Amino acid sequence: MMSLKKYGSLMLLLFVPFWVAGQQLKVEIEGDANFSNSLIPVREAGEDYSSTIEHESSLYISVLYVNYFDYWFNPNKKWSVYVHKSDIEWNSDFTIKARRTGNGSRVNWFAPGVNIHDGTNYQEISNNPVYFFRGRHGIAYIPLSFQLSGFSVTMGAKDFETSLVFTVYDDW
Amino acid sequence: MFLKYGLRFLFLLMPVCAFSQWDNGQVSVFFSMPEVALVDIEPGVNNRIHFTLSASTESGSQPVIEESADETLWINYSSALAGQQGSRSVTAELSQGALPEGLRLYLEASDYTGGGDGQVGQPAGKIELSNQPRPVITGIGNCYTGDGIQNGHRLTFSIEISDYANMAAAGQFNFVVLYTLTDN
Repeated sequence: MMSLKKYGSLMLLLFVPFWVAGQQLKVEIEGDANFSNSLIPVREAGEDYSSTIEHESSLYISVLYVNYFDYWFNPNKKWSVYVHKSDIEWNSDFTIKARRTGNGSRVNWFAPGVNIHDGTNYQEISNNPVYFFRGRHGIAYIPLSFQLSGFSVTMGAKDFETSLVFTVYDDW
Repeated sequence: MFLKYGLRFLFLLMPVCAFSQWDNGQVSVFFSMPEVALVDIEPGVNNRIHFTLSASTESGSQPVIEESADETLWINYSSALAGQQGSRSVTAELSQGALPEGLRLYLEASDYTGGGDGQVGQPAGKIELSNQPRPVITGIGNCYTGDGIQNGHRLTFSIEISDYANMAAAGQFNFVVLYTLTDN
């Protein structure tokens, strides 16, 4: 009996927080970030590519509750989004920057109004996660814009690819 | 004592770590850089060169070439090769017209100078121009020379009388030099 009491309390301590810690929010991404059509061709012999290309918002990120009931019962969850890249075929001279070009929209009619902050200025994405923006409750279709620079004919004719990873963290 | 409360404390702290990250989403950023092969001559307009041969004022002397060399033109290029390609060359040839009999036209590119970058080409020396393409600059990799005069390679044209016996009567002869940036 004593043993049940002793270890029972430990079990409770172990499981209760994990129940709370269960995944509450998820990230969904729609659209693409294909820059191939954005690259302005070299028009004049002797010139290099123009230095920067911009990819306007055709990529949307949604931060959504996993459990739909949380929109009623846990509507004010605070979160923050971090971003980093994971290179597949990349050149260290490239710089990729991202910014948020809108606030997104309410997930449904009974969800609270959109509450989102930061991320509206271009910031560089490196291989280490950096803070991007933060918000409360679920927000859908947050538009993102990207800027790519540093490319040159000296890199040759080649395909380049990197993977952008958006991670949502609990923001206590 | 430590085991009893230490463990409980540890269990309390662990979920804090588990709390922090919820989910992530990934998107691929992709772009393709195409092959580039562009060449031009600067200045882009009024880039004719003239050579004039006059009869000598002294009987028995050779004709006078009033301008035996011209260095006013520059060649610019941009080049991006696919991974497996080695290098490129600029070739030159007479594409229209023909040189008068008894004359030879030569072309020589200078070493690279200017505001470009990358693996620019090396001059191939003084070549005689004909209606067959000949390399003027070789070993061009992924590079750009910069645009305009004072960028790239200065071109020096020179004309020589090769055979007085074959020289024809007076007249005006026009010919066009064609430059091609070609894969090796």
